[in-house]
Amino acid sequence: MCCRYLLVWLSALLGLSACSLPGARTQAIQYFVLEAQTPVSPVAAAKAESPRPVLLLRDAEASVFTQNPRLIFSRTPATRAYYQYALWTESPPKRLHTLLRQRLLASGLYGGVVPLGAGVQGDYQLNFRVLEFFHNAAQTPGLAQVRLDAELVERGSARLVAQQSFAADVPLASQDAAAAAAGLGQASSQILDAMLVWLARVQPNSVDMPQAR
Amino acid sequence: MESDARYAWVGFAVVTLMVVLAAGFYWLNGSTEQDVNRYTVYFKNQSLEGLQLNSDVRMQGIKVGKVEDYIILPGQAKTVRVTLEVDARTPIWEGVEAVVTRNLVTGLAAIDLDNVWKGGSDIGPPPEGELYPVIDEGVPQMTRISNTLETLGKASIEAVERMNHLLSDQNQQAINSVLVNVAGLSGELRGELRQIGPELKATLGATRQAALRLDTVGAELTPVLRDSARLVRDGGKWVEHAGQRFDRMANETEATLNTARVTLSRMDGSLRDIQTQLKLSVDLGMQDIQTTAQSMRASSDTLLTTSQEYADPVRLLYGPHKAELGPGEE
Repeated sequence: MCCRYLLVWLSALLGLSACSLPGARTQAIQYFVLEAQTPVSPVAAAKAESPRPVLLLRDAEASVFTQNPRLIFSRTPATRAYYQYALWTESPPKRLHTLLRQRLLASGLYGGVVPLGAGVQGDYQLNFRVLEFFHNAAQTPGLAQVRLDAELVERGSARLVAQQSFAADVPLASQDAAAAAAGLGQASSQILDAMLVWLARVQPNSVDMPQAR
Repeated sequence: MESDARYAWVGFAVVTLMVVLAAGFYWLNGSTEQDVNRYTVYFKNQSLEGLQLNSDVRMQGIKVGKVEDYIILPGQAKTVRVTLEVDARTPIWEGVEAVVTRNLVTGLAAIDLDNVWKGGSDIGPPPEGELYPVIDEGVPQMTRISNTLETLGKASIEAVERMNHLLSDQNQQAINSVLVNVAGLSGELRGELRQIGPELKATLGATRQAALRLDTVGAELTPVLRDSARLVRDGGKWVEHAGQRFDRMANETEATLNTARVTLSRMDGSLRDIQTQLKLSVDLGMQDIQTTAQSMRASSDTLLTTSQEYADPVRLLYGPHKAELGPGEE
């Protein structure tokens, strides 16, 4: 009962203090979906008689700053800041993981592409980390810059098959959050395409089941 | 005239506010005691770490009450009596169980009520000597899992012990000695056959020669010759019997060796299967560990970011500074 009285008084005090708060925001918060265009010429997997390998896709690694769902921009080199009223519907590393998985499945390079920890034993594992994912606004209207590292590992022997860095810079149409979101989507699309081409080059098309597993 | 009217409005507003405040207090006073039921739980097996007065009491994840009181029973160091205050609209059935659940991050505990189906009748009046109806202590999910794991671990240890026993030095020596004995027996048989064979052959040859010589002696010695021929036939039969027995023994030895070879082959296959299963389990376990570690890292990063954002209350109240606005933001 004592707590309830205290609650009533606190509510009254809060009501009075509300007079000192500023008014509503002048700008609405926008939520953007990171969309990557489908590849113009999809990678065609060579038909192999023996079974195709199963790929385990590990969650993307990223810095704490990049994991935040807010859009990132930079006006001066070596600095980063968040857009205050623009957010992703899903943090970029998670969204890139989903988009990459969709593309890998559609490419037919693998017999299956499943997230790591799904209870499936895979032949290969793809790890990748998002190094940069921001709107470089040093110049008007600026660039959408994406940097990414990836490595392909053969799980049976824990051997590093190949590793590669990817980068894409896309000029923006205007200097605002909507253009930045669209540009980052295009840059992501370019990088995902490049990853597929790289995997098609370094990945064995078939797998000898007893040895690899 | 105008100032009189303003004073009247101010007075009216103050009086109205006081009436509303008084009505609020009356409502708070009047709506407490009648809408709740109290229950008692005796916890003997679960830790109540993190449980506080006014901690949540939940059913199906919904808060339905709070912890009103708890006390360690005097003379029973491991029994805690907890009094729960539960919304009267909440169905509390006979057989309901209470378990303590704990938030892994904050460490705060709550009590979950689980209505176990035993006909769906109400819990009924308090038992004799109790002030409130008594709710049974349940078994937490984590305890069930740990019990299962413990059982699994014991079974695994037993299996490994049995395997160790099966492959113990003593058994290995015994299997080795059996194989050595079987090999020795077959070798001896082969040796015996090798030794006796020529002798038998020589004996047979000599007997045949003797028969031939006896045959040449002539008709006058026919009765003697008949006896000798019988002797040769009997000797041949004896040799034939001995050969058949040795053949049988050799066949049996070979069958024993084949059986031993099949058994060893099966053991090898089983061990290979166990090895494959172990490899698979380890691989899937490692995947789980990797993803769990990554999730924990991500959670701690998120907590860090959130705490950093809440470290600046001015920003939370008044919004971002103009210099923090992004391109195109106002």
